[in-house]
Amino acid sequence: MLMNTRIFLVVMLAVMLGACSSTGGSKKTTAAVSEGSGSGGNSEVSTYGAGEGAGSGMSELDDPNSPLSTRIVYFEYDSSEIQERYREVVAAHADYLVKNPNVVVSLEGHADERGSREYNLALGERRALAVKRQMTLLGAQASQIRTVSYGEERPIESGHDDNSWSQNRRVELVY
Amino acid sequence: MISRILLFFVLALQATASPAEDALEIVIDRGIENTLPIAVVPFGWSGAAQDPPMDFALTISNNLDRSGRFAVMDTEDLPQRPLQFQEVNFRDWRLLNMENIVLGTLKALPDGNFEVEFRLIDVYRGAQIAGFRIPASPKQLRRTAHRISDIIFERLTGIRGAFDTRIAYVTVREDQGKGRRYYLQIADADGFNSQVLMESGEPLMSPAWSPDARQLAYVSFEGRNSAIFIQDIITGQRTRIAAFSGINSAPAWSPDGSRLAMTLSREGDPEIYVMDLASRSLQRLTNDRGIDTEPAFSPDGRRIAFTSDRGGNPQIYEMNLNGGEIKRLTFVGEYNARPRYSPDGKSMSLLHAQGGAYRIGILDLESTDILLLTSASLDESPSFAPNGSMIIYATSGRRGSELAAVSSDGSVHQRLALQVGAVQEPAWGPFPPEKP
Amino acid sequence: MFSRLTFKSSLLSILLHVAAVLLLVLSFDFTSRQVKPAPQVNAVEAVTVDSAQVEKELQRLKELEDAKEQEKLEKQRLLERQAREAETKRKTEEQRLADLKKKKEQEQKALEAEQKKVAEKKKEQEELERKRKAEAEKQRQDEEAKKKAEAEQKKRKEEEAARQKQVAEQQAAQARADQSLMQGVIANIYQDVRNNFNISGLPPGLECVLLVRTVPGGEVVGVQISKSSGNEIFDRRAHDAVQKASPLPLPADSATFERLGLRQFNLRFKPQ
Repeated sequence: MLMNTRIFLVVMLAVMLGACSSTGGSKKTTAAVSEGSGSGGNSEVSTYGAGEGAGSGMSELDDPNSPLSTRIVYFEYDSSEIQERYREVVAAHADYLVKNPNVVVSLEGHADERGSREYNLALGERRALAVKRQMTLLGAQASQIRTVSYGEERPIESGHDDNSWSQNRRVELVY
Repeated sequence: MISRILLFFVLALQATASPAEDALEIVIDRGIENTLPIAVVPFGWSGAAQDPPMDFALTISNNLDRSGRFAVMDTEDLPQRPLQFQEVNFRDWRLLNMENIVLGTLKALPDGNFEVEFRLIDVYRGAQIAGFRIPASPKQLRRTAHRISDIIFERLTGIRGAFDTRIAYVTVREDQGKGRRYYLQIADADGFNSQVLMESGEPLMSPAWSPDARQLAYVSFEGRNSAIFIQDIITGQRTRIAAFSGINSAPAWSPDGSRLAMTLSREGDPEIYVMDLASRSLQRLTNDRGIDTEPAFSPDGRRIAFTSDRGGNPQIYEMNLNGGEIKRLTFVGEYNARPRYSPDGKSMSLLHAQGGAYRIGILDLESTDILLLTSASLDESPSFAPNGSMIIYATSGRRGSELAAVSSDGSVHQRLALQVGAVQEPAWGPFPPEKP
Repeated sequence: MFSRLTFKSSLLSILLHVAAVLLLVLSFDFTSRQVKPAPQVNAVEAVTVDSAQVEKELQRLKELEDAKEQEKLEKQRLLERQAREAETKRKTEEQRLADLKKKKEQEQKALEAEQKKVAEKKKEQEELERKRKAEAEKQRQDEEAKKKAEAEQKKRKEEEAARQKQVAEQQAAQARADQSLMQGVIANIYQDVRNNFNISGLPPGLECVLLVRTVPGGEVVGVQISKSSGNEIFDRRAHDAVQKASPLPLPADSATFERLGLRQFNLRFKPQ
């Protein structure tokens, strides 16, 4: 079952990559995904394997060419749905967790400043949980994933405009 | 208009026909809703120093003005500046349609304390409505001005004044070398006399006053997750009362202070719980896959209103604490959140969004109409004054987040000048405990 | 009655007058005959002479020459007899005339006396008539005066009634005008007080009654709480409303002011 799911996701990722390379995404994400697509969908998964084989997880996380270097997943307004362009990133991190069962990641959910703070706190948690759910579906152990929501209390951008808000609606993956 | 007059005539004729009265009677069956004209004459000062330690008249004027119920006369327009009742020239004030005047004196005592004397005068009767002599230490001077404001407010409106109350709020500052710092603060209702109760490098949220005004419940992320604390304002002693996995937030006191409603997501998604503070036992009130948060006790303690997105987007719902169905209260607008009952329980302040603008509204619980009180686009966290006459809230703009106040009918808006940094989540404290 | 009497007396009077006139006319006839006799006698003589001369003019002329003398003598004697007869006749006539004249004078006297009597009677009648007429006139005048007085009285009464009616109408009009004015004044007082009655923030269901005293022109000279609402602020706002509305829209003319009866009135504050 687990194996089947993984295979399915890998196929999904391949499809997504094609889509991403043609449409592009946000700047940060596109860069990461482009690197991955250059070496092929399957090689990406194997890269994780290589990383695991090398026994040097951290160095792999620090590799700017790895999807693992992407540590922020952005969301739409009042939404906790993981957009397609971030599914590869989430999958990559899930795979990393699967390959590194001793690694624990903290998912920090955030919201933009609009709306009430307590509702946004719940929204941030919902986003973190959405990522967590995705990761566990991909095989990561729940015990490896810690979630926390900061709501709108820790914005990246302090502006009161769409660009700032889109930067602040996010889940940060913190190892 | 015509029907009014006719109605009045019918009434008047009826009254005239009454054999018990030989004089004609005219029935005034209507009135107007207006601000009350008042003049606060600068207080007299007797002391060694050139100037008094504070301007009583200014503080009182600002208070009354901010309430939205008074039309305070500009100091330059005062026809005279009497210090004693005997000096009042009533004719002059009547010519200006001035109904009430406040006058007083501030006297420095040899022991370093002060004596404040004030009189509230009804111009049209030529009589004193209230007069007090209040001793005050230097530290109590400002509070004394607030108490005088309360007396004036109550004697002229019949509503207990809420000037001698405090507000709690969170400020956020980028401190050099420390990064972003969060401060939990309290201040007088007019924003003065602020003091820090708690400082943290991690977010602080949702301050909530205990009904006795002695404690604050709030959310702190100091443990890298939200947790609910209760802190004694005077001693500073704090207790962590909820630090479960997931969200621990939105504390709300029951009117009797024995329970705290809160939002916990320890069972997967945010639900409303009530904790008995003595036993720390928890009772879960909601069970829904969506977000349930921001509980608020009704003034009678029997109901809890909260925000839920169970219907697809955030709306306000209400439940009885002793069971019964959950009832949706808001139907207008794409986003209604953070309910707070008015002190009389007849309405509810809330955050209302429509077309991307987040504003403060008042939901009439009987008609379910929402009256929007503000017109900015990023307002939040409305909080009723304990007498229900005003609402304090946070508004974000180019100058960052700051505090603003609006009268409950939306007629008077005012920004509250506070210190630097973003000011958020104001919570208006209850009336102070009865003085010994 | 009066008219019949008048007719009778008038007829009598006419008859008397006719009689008098007839008498006068008859007496006149006598007089004229008396004057005319001479020419009548001459005419008879002349006829006689003429006829004798015509028939025997030439034959007898010579025959009768002697006879003429004779005749002349005879004629002389005839003439003398005739003259004597005429004289006698004349004397007789004179006597008759004198008698007649005397009789006539007597008659005249009688007539005159009668006339005088008649005149006197007439005068008396006339006097009576005059008196009667005067009396009648007086009566008529009295009657007329009475009638006139009655008419005047009636007229006066009517005028008085009309006047009273007019007064009543004026009063009614005044009353209507006053009522209309009153309604206006009350409406204005209501408006002015209401517009100064600030009920902001006051609880519903309160009611108080103020006794208001005013002077012409509407200045409020006294406000007394005759029935308190029990809410000090409500009472005070009502009180201030009246004071702020002073002067109330009342007539400055004191007569009108008094008619309206608003020197003192009650204001019941009972906001719905």
